[in-house]
Amino acid sequence: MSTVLNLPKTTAARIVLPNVSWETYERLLTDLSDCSVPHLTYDRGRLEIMSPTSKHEKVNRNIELLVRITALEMNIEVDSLGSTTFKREDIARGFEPNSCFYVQNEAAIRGKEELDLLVDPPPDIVFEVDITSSSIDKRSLFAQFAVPEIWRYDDESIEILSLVNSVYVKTERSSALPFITARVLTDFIAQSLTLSGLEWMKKIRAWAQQQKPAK
Amino acid sequence: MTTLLEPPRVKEVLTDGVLLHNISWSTYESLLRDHPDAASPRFTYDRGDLLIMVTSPEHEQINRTLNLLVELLAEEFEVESRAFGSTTYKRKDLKRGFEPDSCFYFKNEERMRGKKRLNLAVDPPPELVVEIDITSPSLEKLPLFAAFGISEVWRFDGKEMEIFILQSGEYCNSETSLALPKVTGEAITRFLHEGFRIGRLEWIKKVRAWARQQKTPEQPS
Repeated sequence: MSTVLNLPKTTAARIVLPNVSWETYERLLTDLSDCSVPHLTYDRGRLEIMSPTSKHEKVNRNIELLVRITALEMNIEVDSLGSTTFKREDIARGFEPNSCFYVQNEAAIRGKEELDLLVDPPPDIVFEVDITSSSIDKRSLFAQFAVPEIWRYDDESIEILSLVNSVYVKTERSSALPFITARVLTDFIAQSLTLSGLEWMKKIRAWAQQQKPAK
Repeated sequence: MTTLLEPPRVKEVLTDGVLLHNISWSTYESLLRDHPDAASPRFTYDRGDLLIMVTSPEHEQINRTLNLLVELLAEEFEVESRAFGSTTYKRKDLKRGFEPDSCFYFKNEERMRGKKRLNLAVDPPPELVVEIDITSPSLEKLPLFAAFGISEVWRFDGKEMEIFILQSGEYCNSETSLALPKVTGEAITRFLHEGFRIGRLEWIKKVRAWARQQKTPEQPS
């Protein structure tokens, strides 16, 4: 596991190297393949190396739980790929989200050991913790991969961004999981930081059960 | 009424860095190739651990002041010196590499004159390495410098300058410098802090005056 220079755990550590070749990027990915942190983002020579804080990691796990529990209740197939590396040499870009999910395209990647983004679809939802003004424009980057939906957490609230004509537009409701709204995400994540694990999961389950269409 | 400039709160100088583990030598060399200008970011490699630091302007300010201080003192004490800055020093056989904040040759100065490329199988390591280490080190640099056989290290922790001399493969604290024998850690610390308070011209005069005093101490009256 990689660590960060002496910064308190409330600060995410991030450095940007301005001039990294694709070859070096791939070498680093290989060396770091056993670790889920740090996250590497590559954009035409610029490499960002980021280690999230423990709070961000907690929010991350809770987002995954939220999606899993609600999808289970709603009987929707979802695959959670965590911070898998998504890269395309042809556009000289790559990223490792905090979390990501396949919903609409879950069947397309089911059982696949490795993804080739020239052939396979990108995740339907990417979850990003976005607390520092990154010098890499993540939205443009995700748009290049045609990621349909971003859930963006800024330490306080979560917003949902949907790709419309190659640009991200803020929307209240998720397209991938239409019963989920930005409000719901924000509220549940806020609660996850104070409620006990069981209490929180039961709340989510109860809420999801209420969202099911009446018979 | 003159106002004294506040000395910089060097403890808060932020230098961004990340420490990665399990990095191969070839990845390290690949990163060095991508960044031929060694000043920033700075890469330190120790048997799989890779420290990447992007230094702040304040960090570089301290670095330049220390660099100038060494050059002035060497000149005053009539010691030949040659600064090699943040040159990359790496040895594949040791699986270690570093890029110091500043480094100098003294006795070996003539051998290094005009050198454009280093070959550490043949060329000597620098005799003095200066390190500004304000965030407490996540990668121990002293054992790394010892592996390269660097005789003397000056380490500034944000408050004080410590001098280390290599003895039997390990560093020992020393009050005075080996390369510049009259120079103490205390004096360097004082001049460093002063360098941020007064004008450069006045500072240079003070440094020179102090050095001259060390050469010919006043006779007690």
